[in-house]
Amino acid sequence: MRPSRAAALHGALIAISVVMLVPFYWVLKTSLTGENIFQYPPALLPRAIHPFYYVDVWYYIPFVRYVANSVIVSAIVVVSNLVCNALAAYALTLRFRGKRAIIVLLLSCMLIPFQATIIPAYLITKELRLLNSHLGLALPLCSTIVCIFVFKTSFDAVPRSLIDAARIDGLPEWRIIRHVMLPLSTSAVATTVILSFIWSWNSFLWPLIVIRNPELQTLPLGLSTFLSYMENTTGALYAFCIMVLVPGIALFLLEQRRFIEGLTSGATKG
Amino acid sequence: MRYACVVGALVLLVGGCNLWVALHDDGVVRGRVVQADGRPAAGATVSFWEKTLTTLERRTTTETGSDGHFVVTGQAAHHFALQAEKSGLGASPRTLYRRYFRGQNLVLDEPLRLREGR
Repeated sequence: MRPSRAAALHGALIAISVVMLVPFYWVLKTSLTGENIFQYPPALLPRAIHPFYYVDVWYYIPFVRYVANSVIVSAIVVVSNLVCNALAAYALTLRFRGKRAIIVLLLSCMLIPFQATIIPAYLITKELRLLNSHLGLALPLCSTIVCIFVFKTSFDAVPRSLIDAARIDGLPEWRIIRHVMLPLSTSAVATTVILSFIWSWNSFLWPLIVIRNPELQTLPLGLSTFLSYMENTTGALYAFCIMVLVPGIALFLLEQRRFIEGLTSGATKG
Repeated sequence: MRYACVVGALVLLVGGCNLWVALHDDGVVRGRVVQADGRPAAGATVSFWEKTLTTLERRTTTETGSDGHFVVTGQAAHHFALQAEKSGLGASPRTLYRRYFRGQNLVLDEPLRLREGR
C-alpha cells in the first residue's frame, strides 16, 4: 500500500474511532464535572474535575452489593457457557443422523428475540423454583447459540487425526474435550468468556422480571433504581455508568487479541 | 503475566487506599468562625448538617472557642453542610462540603463568616 493511501486510510479510521468514542468521553467527562449535558454551547474540555460523584455513588447506594450480585451471576454464566457450549459444539463436530437439522434449528432459534420467549422462560424458572435467586438470574444465559458456533468453528479446525489418536490412546470423549479441544481453542474460550460476561453483566430485562428482593439486584437494576429516586443526578448517574462499564471494558482490553481471533477464525477459514 | 500484573496492581492500589482511609477516618472537622469584619467569633454555634439523598438533616452542634476555632467530632458524612450563628452577630451561609471518604479528617480552608440579617 502506498504511504499516501495508508495515511488516508489511517486518517479515516481515526476519525471513525473518534466519532465512536465521543459518547464514552462525554459520559466520563460528565461524571467528573457534573456539567449539565444540555448546556449550549457544550464544553468540549472538562473544567473543575473532581471525583465526588463517584464517592456519592459509593455511599448513597449499596454499590458493593450490586457488584457482588453481578459478579456471582456473571461467574455462573461464564462457567456454564464454557461447559455447555463446549459440549454442544463438540457434539456438532461429530457425524450423526439429523446433525444438519439440529444446526438449522439452532440457527433459526437465533432469529427469535429474547423478549418473545420471556414468558415461557419465566414460567420455567418459576417451576424450577429459581425466581429470586442468582441461579434464576443466570439461567437464560447459561448457554448461548452464538458461542456454540464459536466453539464449533474452532473445534472444526482441529485435525481429525489428533482426535482419533486421542481415542486410540483410550481417552474418553469428555477428556478429549478437556485436554485436546479446549487447549487448542483458546480464542474461542476467550470469546465465550467475554461475550457471556458482557451479556450477563449488562442484562436488564430478565433481572427486572425475576428479582423481587432488593438484596439480589444487579448493577443494571441498581442503575435503574438510582435513576428513579434521585433527581438532578447527572454527575452521579454518569459516574455510576462508568463504574458499571469498567469491568467489561477491562476484561475486553485484557483479552481483545484472542477475542478478535475467536470471532474471525470462522470468517477467514478456507 | 498480564493478569498477574493487573490484579497485583489493583490489590496494591486498593490496599494502599484502605490503609490511608483507616489512618484518616476519625470524622473530625476543624474550622474557624469569623465576624463580618474578620475578627474571631467566640461562642458561636456551629451546626453540622448531613446531606442525604433528598435533604439536609442536622446531626450535631458545637461552639467556637475564644479564638473562633471549632472542632466537630464523630461525624462521618461524606457530604455535609456547616452553618455558624451567634445572636447579635448573625449567621453564616449554610455551606456544603465534601469528603473523599466517610469520616475523613478535614480542616476547612476558608472560615465561616457571620453576616448580620441572616
